[in-house]
Amino acid sequence: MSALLLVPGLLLVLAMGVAPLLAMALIGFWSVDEMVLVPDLSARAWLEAAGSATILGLLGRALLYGSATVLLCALLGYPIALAMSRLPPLLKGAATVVLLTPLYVGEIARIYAWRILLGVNGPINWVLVESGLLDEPTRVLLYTPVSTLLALVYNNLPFMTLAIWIAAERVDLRLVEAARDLGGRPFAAFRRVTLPLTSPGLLAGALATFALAAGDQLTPALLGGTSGSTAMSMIDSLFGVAFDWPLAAATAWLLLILLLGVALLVLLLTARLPATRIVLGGGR
Amino acid sequence: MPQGAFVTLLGPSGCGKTTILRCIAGFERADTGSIRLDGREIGGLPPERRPVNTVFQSYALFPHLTVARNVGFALAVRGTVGRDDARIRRALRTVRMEALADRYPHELSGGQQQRIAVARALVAEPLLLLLDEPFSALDRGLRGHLQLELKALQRELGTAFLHVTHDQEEAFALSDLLVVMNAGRIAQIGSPREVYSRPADSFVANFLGEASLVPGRVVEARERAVLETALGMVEAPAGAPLSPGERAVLVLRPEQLRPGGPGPWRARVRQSVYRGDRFLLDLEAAGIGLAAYAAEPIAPGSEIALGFEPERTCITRLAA
Repeated sequence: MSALLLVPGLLLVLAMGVAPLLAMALIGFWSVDEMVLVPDLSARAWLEAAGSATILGLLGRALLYGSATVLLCALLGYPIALAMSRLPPLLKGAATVVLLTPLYVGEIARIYAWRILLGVNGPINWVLVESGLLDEPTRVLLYTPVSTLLALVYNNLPFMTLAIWIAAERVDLRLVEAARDLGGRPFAAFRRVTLPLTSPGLLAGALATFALAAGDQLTPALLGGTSGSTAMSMIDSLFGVAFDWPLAAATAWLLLILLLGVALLVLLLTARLPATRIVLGGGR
Repeated sequence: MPQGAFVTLLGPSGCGKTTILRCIAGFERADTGSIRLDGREIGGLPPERRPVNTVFQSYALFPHLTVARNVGFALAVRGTVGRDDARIRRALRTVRMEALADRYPHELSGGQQQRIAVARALVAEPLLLLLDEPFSALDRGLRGHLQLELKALQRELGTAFLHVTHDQEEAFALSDLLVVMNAGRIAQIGSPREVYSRPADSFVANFLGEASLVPGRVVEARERAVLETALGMVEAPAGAPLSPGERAVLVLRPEQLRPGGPGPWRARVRQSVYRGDRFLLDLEAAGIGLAAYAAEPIAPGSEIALGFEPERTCITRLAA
């Protein structure tokens, strides 16, 4: 009976998630004749997308930005999440609000704020020059991959931190005490107990951040300067300016396959670890 | 603590017994005082450097590790563990759990989890094993059996065990020495028999087993004391140093009273409660409630003679 409860959600996912994707896959086989979309069965778009150095380069960049964001968010978010899980309940609520505050401001506003901060005449450069660390303002900070990555990490850190925090909340502190009691130094207790038990959160955070960062278009476009073109912006201009819907659809699908592939790979690898299996699979 | 002894800290919840255990383990710092083990001060050491291991209340087994890796944890963190370590196998054999080495904790019953927790704590060969209410998570029926096992294991190993509980039956069954605690202070230290038969104050008398307390004033006191009560003058051994004029209590255990006499007192039966093996009588004598055992029920309202065995009772201090 309870399986019936799944039906509405399933229908919604099929109609709103899967159907457009299938439609796009279909369009990938069509062709364009004099700015007119012709229903067809041509592999042209798929071959062109898979053979284009530009498109493959952009897909590689998506992978790179996604992975780098995941890595930095995990390194920054983990200590924050762990510290949050040890706070008294009232402060936990406050910490959650603080953590999510950046998300309440629109993405555009955040990106422009970064522009001001990172600019040649911005406060960061001012501090660097005034303190004597630099002779003149650096241009590395803005319109470079550095600024893109910085903003991607900033935007996605809350998601990663929240995911790890929820996992950390469920770790029984007595297990950490037991690890210390049995002769483990604080770091050993962390590595052998806290880290494995929070790995599901880390994994969930990594999957979410990876997809968000790899698929982000605005941040690289507004902060990346000449390095700011992405697979997303490519797809956008193929659909719009170039009116090559089949190529755009094929490129979008390649990006989807790439992101899904990475997610599946990560899931498969972690599911093989007995520790994660127990943690994910209902062990107490 | 004597070498190789099984010592129990016994007291109501919130009396500070678990805090003492946590101070010894190193999870909490004592405000004052020192903790010495084998002549060495360990109060300032972090938990991992104390020669002490703990069996936690709900065992705190690592859910992501197999039984064998749980037991081998202390060896693994010291970097001295082999793949199929003989010490792990020996520890598992000690608690008769070799067959379950590859299971995960959630696949084990409560009793099995307890054995693994004990094996895990013993594998590092601690000078002192701490046990924090190790039976509280288990069914009543299972406890008695596992208590016997734990006691046998402790005798066999000769390791000192310091055990915390609020369950007096458990404390009696296991301990060589009992430390009864009340509101953060030690009320009495002694063998289970001493503590039961010569309680140091009215709190200990009340907390251990059933006891009726008859208040009075001390008339004479040396090894034995004479107490003036509503039931008359009573002479009995003293459970604590007393001085004449002091207010004190006569401790009467139900099994020390003889309903039906012969005896000096008259009592009225208020109720007979069936206890399976016997009846518990709720009596009233000179306005004082007393509990006694009887083989057969006595009708409520009956007046009976009541005798007692002065040598087995005791006169002791009123608890603060």
